[in-house]
Amino acid sequence: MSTSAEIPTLLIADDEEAPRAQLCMAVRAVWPQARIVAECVNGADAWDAYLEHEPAVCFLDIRMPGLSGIDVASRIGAQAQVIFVTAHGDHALEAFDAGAVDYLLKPVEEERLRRAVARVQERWTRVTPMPDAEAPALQALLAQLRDQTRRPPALQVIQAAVGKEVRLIPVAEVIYFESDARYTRVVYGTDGLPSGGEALIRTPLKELLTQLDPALFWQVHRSVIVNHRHIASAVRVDEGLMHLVLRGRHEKLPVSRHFQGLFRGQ
Amino acid sequence: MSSRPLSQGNWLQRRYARWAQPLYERMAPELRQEVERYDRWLYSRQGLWFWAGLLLTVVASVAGLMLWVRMSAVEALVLALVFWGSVLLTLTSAWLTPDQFVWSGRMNWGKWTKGALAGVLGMLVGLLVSRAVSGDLGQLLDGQRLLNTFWRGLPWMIGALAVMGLITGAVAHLSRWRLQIQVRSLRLAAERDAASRDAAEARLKLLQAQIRPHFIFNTLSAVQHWVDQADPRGAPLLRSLTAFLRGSTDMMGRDAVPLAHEMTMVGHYLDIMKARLGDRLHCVVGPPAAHFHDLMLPPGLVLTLVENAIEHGVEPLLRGGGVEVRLQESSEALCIDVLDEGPGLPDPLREGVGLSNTRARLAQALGPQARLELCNRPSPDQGCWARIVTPLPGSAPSSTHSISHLNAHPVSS
Repeated sequence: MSTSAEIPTLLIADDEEAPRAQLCMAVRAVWPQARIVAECVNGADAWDAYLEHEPAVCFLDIRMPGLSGIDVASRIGAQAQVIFVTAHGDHALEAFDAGAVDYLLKPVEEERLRRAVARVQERWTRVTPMPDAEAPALQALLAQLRDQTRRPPALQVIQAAVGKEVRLIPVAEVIYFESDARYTRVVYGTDGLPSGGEALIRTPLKELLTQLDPALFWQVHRSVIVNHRHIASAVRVDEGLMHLVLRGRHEKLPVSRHFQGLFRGQ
Repeated sequence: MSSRPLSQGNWLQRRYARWAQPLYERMAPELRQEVERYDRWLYSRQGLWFWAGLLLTVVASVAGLMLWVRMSAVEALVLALVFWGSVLLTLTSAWLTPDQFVWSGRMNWGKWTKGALAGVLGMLVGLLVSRAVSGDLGQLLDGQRLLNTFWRGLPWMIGALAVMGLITGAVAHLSRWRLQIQVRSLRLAAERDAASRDAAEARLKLLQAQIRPHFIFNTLSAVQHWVDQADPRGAPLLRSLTAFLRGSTDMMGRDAVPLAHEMTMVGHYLDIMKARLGDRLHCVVGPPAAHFHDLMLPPGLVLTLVENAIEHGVEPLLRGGGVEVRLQESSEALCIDVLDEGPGLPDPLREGVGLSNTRARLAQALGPQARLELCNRPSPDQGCWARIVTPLPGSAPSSTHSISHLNAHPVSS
């Protein structure tokens, strides 16, 4: 989390072009000191951009493809301040009102935006981004809303072109996915079987993420998603660095700061 | 019957009200309401007739007792007052609280014992008082005479008790019957209220769905931005929104609209969504059905399916997708198809308010032959396929119109 001396960084996500552009302009007018570091066109994009830039404040549209604004917010947790953006008539509004969650209604009114920004700035000057008592309540509310959103069925099989053949890889056999320039590297194999291997697919990792079962596949880094059954241990190297050791494999996978809370010991 | 409370009446009424207030407060609310109603009547002008009747009865009884039984005036008066007082009290109680007087199938020994004791005690006190009044106290202690009097009086007492019991029971049953009728009519009224409330709520939900606030404000957000920016997309979007809103205002409150009108609305809706979603939406609307231009449909029927296709079949896709609307006519039926390229129907399918509403309105407007079918598109296509089959009057569309025979996994028919 940044401190008050730094320039506040903002992320703005809306799947429709006009409201996104409108919000960007309004935010620039109301909060000229802040810098918009990412304008995202869907939820998967927003989550990826969050991991890349770690902005202090995220304006999230609720209905977005990939991940909904609610999904993204619950992944961000208490690491950044979230302001939801939606239109009148959204079923989440009642819950937001009850839970005192910040939100803006489209079309965004400058006065209302000014108030929301003032609240954000007020919290910004505190040491902790959110009082500890508030954070779990918000997470519970988001979890409840998340259950109501419809999501596409989980991916079962990955089709990867290797030379002239197309390999069908059952998702359950994947050990990990890793972003590799313009591709995603799929490392797969069943325990002890030589049938495993690697393949490159064109689907970006951030899109793949939305189709994977989060109970099985854990994102541990902006560019790594791992099947948690293959994790042997997590090793802390220094204050900011952590590695995952996989069962029966030599490579180590990085765990970025945001995800280190997954491995805390009990 | 006067409806003014006694506490605001004349001097007598106020006095009575003050006296009765603590008694009222101990009663159950329904009973209290009833008792207050009777009291208001008793202390009104019409109530005078009752008092006059009571007085006449007592006077006649005293006269009768004096003449035929040869009682002294005081004895006769006491007897008449006690008798008519208790009759009145018993019958009023039976009328007001019938449940206490109707055989409940369970013997309440305590109540009966208390009643019998009170009766015997009352008789003794009565004797004592009458003898004391007539200066016969000396004879009172004569046990033999007392016993003789008792035995002579016993058959009369039993007879009187039986008659009184019968009358009381009859009054209690009558009152209960009256209460049951009241309860039944109240329950009917409550049910009618609930039904009309449900209907009003359903109408409200339908209206809310027809107003589509989420859609309108999202569209306005785009309009506002493009107008602010002098973007050329602003004007046509505003025009489409205006046409859409005008059309839906026309539709609102109507039971049916011609198919051509509905398809115009679908066109405006798709224009708006195309402007908003840009490259993410591509849509195809098939040629109009020439013979079915004037077919009357419940308003918003096709529109709901198109909205669903966009909400569930296009918007959730990262790269967007397509929607196709086709009209297929044959000699016996019209099929309206709405297809998308989305993730398909969720499994298990939970029909939302919109869909069940659509089904109900379809059946209501076009009869049970008309139907709405939903299934996943046969592979290799992906997405959802919704079909409305509307038969021509007088013909039953055969199963060839059903999409289920084209598809191995129909979800609903």
